[in-house]
Order: sequence, then structure tokens, then C-alpha cells
Amino acid sequence: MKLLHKTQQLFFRGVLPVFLVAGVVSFFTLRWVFNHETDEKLLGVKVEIESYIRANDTLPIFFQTVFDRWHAEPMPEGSMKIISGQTFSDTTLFNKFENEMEPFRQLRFPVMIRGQAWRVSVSTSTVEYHDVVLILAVLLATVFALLLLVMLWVNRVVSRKVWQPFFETLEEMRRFRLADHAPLKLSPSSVEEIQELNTTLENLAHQIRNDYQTIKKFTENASHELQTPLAVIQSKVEILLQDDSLSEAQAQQINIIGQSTRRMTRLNQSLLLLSKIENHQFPAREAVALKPLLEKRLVWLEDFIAEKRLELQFELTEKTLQINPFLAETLVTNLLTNAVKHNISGGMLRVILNNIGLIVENSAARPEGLVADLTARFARGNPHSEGMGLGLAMVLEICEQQGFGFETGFENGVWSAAVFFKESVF
Amino acid sequence: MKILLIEDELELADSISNFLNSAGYLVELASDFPTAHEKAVLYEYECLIVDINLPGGGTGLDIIRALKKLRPEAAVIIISARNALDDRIAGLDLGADDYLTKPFHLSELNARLKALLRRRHFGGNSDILFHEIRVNPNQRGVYVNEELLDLTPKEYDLLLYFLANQHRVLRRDSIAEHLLGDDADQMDDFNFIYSHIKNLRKKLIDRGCLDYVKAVYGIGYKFTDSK
Repeated sequence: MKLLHKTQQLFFRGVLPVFLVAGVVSFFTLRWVFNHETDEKLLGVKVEIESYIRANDTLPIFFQTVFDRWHAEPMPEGSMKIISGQTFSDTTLFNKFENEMEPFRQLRFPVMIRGQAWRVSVSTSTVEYHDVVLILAVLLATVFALLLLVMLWVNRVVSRKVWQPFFETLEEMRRFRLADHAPLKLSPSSVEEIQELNTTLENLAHQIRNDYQTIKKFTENASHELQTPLAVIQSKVEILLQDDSLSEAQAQQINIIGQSTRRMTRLNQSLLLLSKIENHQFPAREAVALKPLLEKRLVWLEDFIAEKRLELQFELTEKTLQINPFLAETLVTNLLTNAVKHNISGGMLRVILNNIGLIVENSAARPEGLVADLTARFARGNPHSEGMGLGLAMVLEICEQQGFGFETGFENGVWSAAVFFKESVF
Repeated sequence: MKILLIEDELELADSISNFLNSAGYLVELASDFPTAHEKAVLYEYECLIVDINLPGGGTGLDIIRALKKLRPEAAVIIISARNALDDRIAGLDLGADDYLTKPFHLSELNARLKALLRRRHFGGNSDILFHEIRVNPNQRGVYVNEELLDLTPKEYDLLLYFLANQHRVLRRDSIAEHLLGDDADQMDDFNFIYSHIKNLRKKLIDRGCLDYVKAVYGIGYKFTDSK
């Protein structure tokens, strides 16, 4: 829900009951006032009739205005007590001038004329009152509607003006990248709240950037610190192996230490590289031709392809991407080495490059576990393989950063990995 | 031949000195920035092997900068745990001749040092001799009993690596990484070097060369004229 809609909704929720209550209260107040006035008038008529009776000891012969009517009827003996006092009531009577039934207010009271009790009722039309209520309702509704319209318009204009700096800040935040070298700089605002928000955000971004730099340094330092002892082990292994007095078995044990050290070194370097890619530390882009890159890497791999007696097929067309050259190389290298490493002896390796994407297919034994999980860190299709499983994680990360699609699949003994240069194609 | 080794990790420095001593070099060690800076500026060395991260208020890059101002022709190999691209570029820009990322094989350092010194002294025109084998690095030509031998680039690299590290056990990892370059850590199965070694051996023996390549079971190979 947009802020504008939210304020409007709140306004409706707040104003509607007020209008309803105001309407009801006005209605009852008006009725009370009107009834009071009418009753006063009827009482006036009553006083006049009573004083006439007192003076003449008879009912007035003619006492009727256009709107006011009166009527008297004798009452049975003894009922005087029951109907003593006056009563007001609402009723409808026939208006012969308008020729229709109309609402009337009626006052009934008893009088005594020469020992005979009479009940006199005096009525006055209240049709104006009903008209007024109707007019009031229409008026209230109109004011309400008008007020709403004005409010919507004002809200729109005000939102646009008042929230402008907020949206600017939002846009700046959206553009902010941790890996960028520039700190977050928001344009100053004269609105106190916005300025406060900007200051808070700038401080927050500053803090995060500091932490980020610290982590980056830490990663680099950790890798540095790890590589030094690894280098020491490696060098000692090499020195030891030159010792002629070693038995063959001892030499082999030492060699295994050397091989494990190498694996650890590779793992360390791969993790470092992956975290660097994840941290967007390769931002600079340029036009990179993929075909030569692939050819170079295939030549580099020729020993491994020959060793496994792989049948190599490739269809490469010229394709240039706007990408960081190092990332392009990492992408290509990981896809190809992966396809060679996890290939079977005498298998097939097919590389297709065109405008849509890059597809690498290779023969493979059934990868254990879910195909999609292979890209997760350390996932390995073959538990005996020394591959660290980080290769595809890097490919996936690079694809995500480039907005490329990446799909893998396994069918009929063929593993395929496809990079689609623009996701929108599919 | 005097070499200045600038390295703060003493155990690693010890290994390097040990290895290079046995290869016939005289290695002097400087393990912090002030000592290293002083030695690099005061004395002349055949080559400096420089670690970038140093204790004592400066980096290996600062030393190379100072040294190159004084003796632009000085031979420098950087050894650094930082495989950051920036460092490598900065180092080579300052005039360093080579760059090795830790951890590295001592035999690899030895081979690069030899190649560098040969380029420095003879412009690559000095031949490498080993009994009936003669290699002219400038032409990448290999002769057995003065007869030109036709080798693939990998076989040639392999032979040169053997010649640089005579009488030493070379681990298969080390040989593979030498042949494949920096990207070798992409792969983990190095059976392929067997066929290169087999072919090289065969070509050498076919030309009447003695078999100097000895397999060290389970570990690697040794190029030697002793039994």
C-alpha cells in the first residue's frame, strides 16, 4: 500500500464516523428544537382557547388557521380524571389544501364547559420540519463529498512535495553499493525528519562499509596467514624428499603430506576467490570476446582431454560480452575444467557458443544427489573426486551478478551446463 | 653467486636458503624491512628474492622501488602470499622480473631463478650442458650429441625444468604446475605428465642419450646421472 493510499484510508476511517455522528446529532437536535417550537405554539393556542372558554363558557366557533386545526369532542362522564393534563403526539392528518396525508404535531387537553368535559386536540403541520431534515442530509453529504475531494487533491499535492526528499533518499539508497569506493552521500534536506533520516542512513552506511572493509581485510589477511604456514609445510616436504636416507615408505608418507597441503592451498584460494566474487570485487567491465577465451582454455586443457580420450566437439561463433575480463575467464575456465574433470574415460565434451548462450555438455556418471544442489558450496557429484565443488558455485554467482540465466541438467548420461546471456530470452 | 632473500617467515626462509645453497648459491637473509632495505641498497646481489609483506615499517615493494632507483638492472623475484592482482601488477611495474605466489615449489623458484640469471648474464645465449645434452634457450633448441632433437613445447619445458633441478626429487604436483602455469590449481589429476615424460625419455634415448630420468615410485621423478 502506498503512503498516499494509507493516509487517505486513515482519513476515511477518521472522518466518516464524525460525519455520521454529526448527522445523527444534528437530526435529533433539530427535531428537539422544532418540536419545542411547535409545542410552544400549540400551548399558545391552548391558552387562547382556554381563556375564550373561561370568558364565554362555550367553544370557540371558528378557530382555525390554514395550518393549525382544532377539534373538540365531549368525553364520557368520569373519564375526566384519566385524561387530565395535556399530551403531545405525532400523527398524520389529511391536508385538504395539499390533498395528501401530512405529518402533524398534536396537543390534546381537556376543558370543562358547563359541567361537560371536552377533549380538545390542536394540531399543526410539521411538513416543513421533514423538508428541513432532507435538506440537511443532502447538505451534509455534499459537504462531506466536497471535503473528501479537496482532501484527496491536497494529499496528492502535499505528498508529492513533502515526500520528494524521501523518495530522493530512497533512490540514493537503491543505487548504493557496498563494493563501491564512494561513501553514501545524501542531499541535505530542510525538513527536519528527512534530514534526521538521511543522517541516520549515512551513519548506518558508514558503519556497514567499515564492517565490510574489515571483513574484506580479514578474509585477505586470513588467506595470507594461512598461506604462509602452508608454504612452510610445502617447502619442508620438498627439502625432506631430497634426503637420500629416507626409506621409500617414509618418502611416500611425506609426499602425501605435500599433496594434502596442495589441496588445502587450492581450497583456501578458491574460497578466497569466491568470497571476492560474492563481494563484487571485480566491478570493471569491458568488451570481452568469448570465442578466443574458450579456445585458449581448450588448448590449455588438451593434455587432460587426451588423457581421458575425450571426443571433443565444438561450435563456436563470435560473441562479445560486456563483463569483467577476470570474471569471464573464471566463468569459462570453471565450466570447461568442470566438464573435463567430471567426464568419464572415452566420454564426450561438447561446447556450443552462440548469441543466446554458452552450453557445455559432457558425459558423466549419474551425479549423486540433486542436480541443482551441485552448485552449493562443497557439493560433489563423485565423493572420490578431489574437486572442491566450488567451481559451479562461482559460475552461478557470476551469472547472477551479470543477470545471466544458468541451468544445469542431466539426461542420458550427459551432464549439461548452460549460461543464457540474457534471461529475457526465455 | 650471491642472493639476497627477504622473507620474514624464518622457517620458510630456512627452507629456501637450504634449497638454494645446495644448488650452489650463497644466500643472505634479511627478515625485516630495515635490514632488508639496508642490504639491498648497500650491497650488490645477483638476484633479490623479495616477500611483499614485511615487519618493520615498509613493504617489499618499497625495497624494489629504492633498489631500482639505484640499480635498474637488478634482478628481482617477488614471492608473496597475496595473490592479489594489484600486487602482482604493482610489482612487475616496478621492474620485478618474476612473481611467485606462496606456497610455491622450491624447485620452481630454483628454475625461475636460473632462467632469470641466464637471461641477465648472457641474454639467454648461454647453452645449458649436461653430458651429451645441449640446450640453447634462446632458440629453444635441444641437441643430443650435437644432433637437433624435435620436442613439443611441453617436452622442452619439462627438460629444462629437469636440467634446472638436477639430482633432485621432483614431485608430480611440482612438475604439473610447472607445465600448466598458474592455472594448474584448476585441475587435480596429473596423470597426463606421465605421457610427456615417457615421450621425452624415448626421444632422448632414441638419439643415444643415457636415461637420466628416474622414476621415484609414488612421488615423482629425478633427473640425474648417478645410478
